[in-house]
Amino acid sequence: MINVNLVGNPNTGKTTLFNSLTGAHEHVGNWHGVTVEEKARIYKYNGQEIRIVDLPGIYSLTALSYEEKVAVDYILSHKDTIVVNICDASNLQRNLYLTLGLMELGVPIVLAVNQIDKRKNCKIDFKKLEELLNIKVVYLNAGDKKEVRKLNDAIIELNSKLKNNYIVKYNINYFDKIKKNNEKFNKLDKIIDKNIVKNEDLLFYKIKILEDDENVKSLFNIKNNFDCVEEVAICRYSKIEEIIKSCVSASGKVYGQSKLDSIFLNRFLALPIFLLLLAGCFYLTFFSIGSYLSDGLDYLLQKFIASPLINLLSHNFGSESFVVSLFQEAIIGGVGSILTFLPQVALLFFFLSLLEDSGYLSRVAFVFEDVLGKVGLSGKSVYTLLMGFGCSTTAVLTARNMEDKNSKIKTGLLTPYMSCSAKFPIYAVLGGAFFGANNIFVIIGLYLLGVVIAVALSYVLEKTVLKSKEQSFILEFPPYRMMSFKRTFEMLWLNVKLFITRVGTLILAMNIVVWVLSNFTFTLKFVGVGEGVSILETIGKILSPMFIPLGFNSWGLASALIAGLVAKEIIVSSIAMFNGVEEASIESIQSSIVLSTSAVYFSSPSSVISFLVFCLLYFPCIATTSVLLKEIGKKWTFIGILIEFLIAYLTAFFIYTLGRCFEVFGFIKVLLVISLILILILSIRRIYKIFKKKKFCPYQDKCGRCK
Amino acid sequence: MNNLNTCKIGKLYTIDAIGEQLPLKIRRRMYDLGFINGQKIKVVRKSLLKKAILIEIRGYTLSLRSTIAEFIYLKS
Repeated sequence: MINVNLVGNPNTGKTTLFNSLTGAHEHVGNWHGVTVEEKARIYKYNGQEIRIVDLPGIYSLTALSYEEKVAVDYILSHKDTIVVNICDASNLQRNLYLTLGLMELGVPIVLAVNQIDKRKNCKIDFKKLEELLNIKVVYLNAGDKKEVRKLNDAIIELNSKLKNNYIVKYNINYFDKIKKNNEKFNKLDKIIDKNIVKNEDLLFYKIKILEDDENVKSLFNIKNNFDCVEEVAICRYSKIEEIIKSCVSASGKVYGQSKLDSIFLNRFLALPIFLLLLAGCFYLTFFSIGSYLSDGLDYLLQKFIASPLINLLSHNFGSESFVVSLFQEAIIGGVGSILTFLPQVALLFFFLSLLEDSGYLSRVAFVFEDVLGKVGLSGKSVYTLLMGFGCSTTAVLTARNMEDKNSKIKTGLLTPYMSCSAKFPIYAVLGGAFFGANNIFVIIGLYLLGVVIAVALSYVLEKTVLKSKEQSFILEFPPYRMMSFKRTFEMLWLNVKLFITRVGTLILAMNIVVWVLSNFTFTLKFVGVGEGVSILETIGKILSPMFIPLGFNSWGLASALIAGLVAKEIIVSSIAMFNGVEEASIESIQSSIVLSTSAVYFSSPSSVISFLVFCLLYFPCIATTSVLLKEIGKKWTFIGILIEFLIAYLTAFFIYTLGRCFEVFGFIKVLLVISLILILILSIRRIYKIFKKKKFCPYQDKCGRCK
Repeated sequence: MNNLNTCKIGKLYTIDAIGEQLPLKIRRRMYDLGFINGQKIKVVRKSLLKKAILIEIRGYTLSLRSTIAEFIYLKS
């Protein structure tokens, strides 16, 4: 088997190439740092097995953020493995910097030049490039499965050379200036322990020490700084300029700039445009196309699958049998009602990937840097937070884009506050029952509430326990790209498949568990006929009093919240089961929860809103928790979950109380009281400020700090 | 001295040095990205509150936080 590592700058198409080579469907996007962990896969080419590892993007062999460290450590510990170094043809100059670094390390390299945007005015002389670097150069379009064959041939050729004792040797003459003039460089020979470093690796380590690389320096117990980073970079770049001059005819176009930016990045229009676009995506997903498709699916499921199935079963088992009840309640009522959300969830993920693929996301990050920088995050956090609207579990992983530990912990902790796609069915079903067409405002409010709480919490954490180091917000801007028809279709299909798999496995299994627990007593007797108390009812009744202040006191909701820890969709399907809903339709669940005879029953709109708010904010699901444990550690996961629960409880309580006041005393009276209280607080603050004595100021008020 | 924060938008400048005030890790990254003495550089635009700036260097586009840009000194 041939081992290959895929290495390159961020957003050069490593994962696209990985997918083309192996037939995988790893997540790709037009953004800096989509891949945050190494991913390996084995494929066959001409009878030869190749194991390829996709690594996060790096700029050099010294890491700055967490996902870069993953890649750098991997490359340094696999020095004999063939490296496929992928470069973007339209940004070759900067990309070659890493290539030189890899050459210094002495790994066997194949250079893959990716021509995504085939620009006519940028010509590269590949033969000359090959000669100058002494590396096999393959030019290709990373997304084209036919073109990547050339790369496979090159890998196999290099591998057979290596087998025949071919020794990789590159001409690294560009450090001669340093070697001659820099005294520090020559002293290094004495410091470096020859037992640790092989002779051929000596240059690499010497250069890394000159660059003050912390990891390499600690290897040799070196404490002092050499301050030669710039000198080293100048050497490399002068070599690159030499190469570029003789191989590339100037393109004149700047990578990552477009006329569209004068609109999308307009200082005043940028934010409103983004909000409009986002609102448009949500509207299409949840209220127009998405909801029509949902209704259609609902009808088809009921007519062609649910009804015939139940008829068949009751014919064979008798309509009172628990088999029929299991199918009706757990599978049709429970799983079916979730399945009707398929179009909406698939559309949401599709829009998120469209945002990501178009290159617009970097612009959004730029716009939000102003705000997010203030609360101790970075514009880059926008990526994690937006992905959180899709799925918190995968979004938490992208927190590795952060540069220091505290920012990473903070970004990870905030992600669950973004209302994920699994929570949408809860809002749609429960909110829809009480608010009908006005539910759109409730849903927008819930999404906003999540974002506002996340930003506020980040601010509090920044000012107290999780002060972050300065983030650089170094973010490369990708060019805008249109999604091809093929990829659009692929993305949609992939998301549909993912959703169906999730519903068919995890949610189906969990629904059966919930059904069994809610239909059998501790002595394993079937309660379907109305005898005895089920296991879940017993547990739910113990827990439900703690939700009385929040306005919902039923064993069903308490149990649904517990079941929802596995996956939030199960809250809806559990409610359907507890209420004995026997159709895969949202309306029948909705009509059941307003009946006071049901197991799950909401007495007033404010108690529904309180429940929705609680669902939005309480514990993250099990999958997210396990990723959090891995990414930010036990201590912070535990604290984070505790904070979440407290915030959920208090916010729901506050909203319920306020809502009840409105319901009982009328809108105008409550508004009057609230404004009176606000005026009172403001005037007290004012009076306090006036009476507060001025402290003695050594700067005599000139520095402006007191203001 | 003129730096990336105080310079004019859209005008071509030459980098003089990167201030020692920046942490080594950031400085190393800036050098890796090509912010070396004598390099031509241009500020393309700034965000609403001017906390983020967009620059053009070596034929590509990059955003930076203004607290970093402050210490990238330019030749006058």
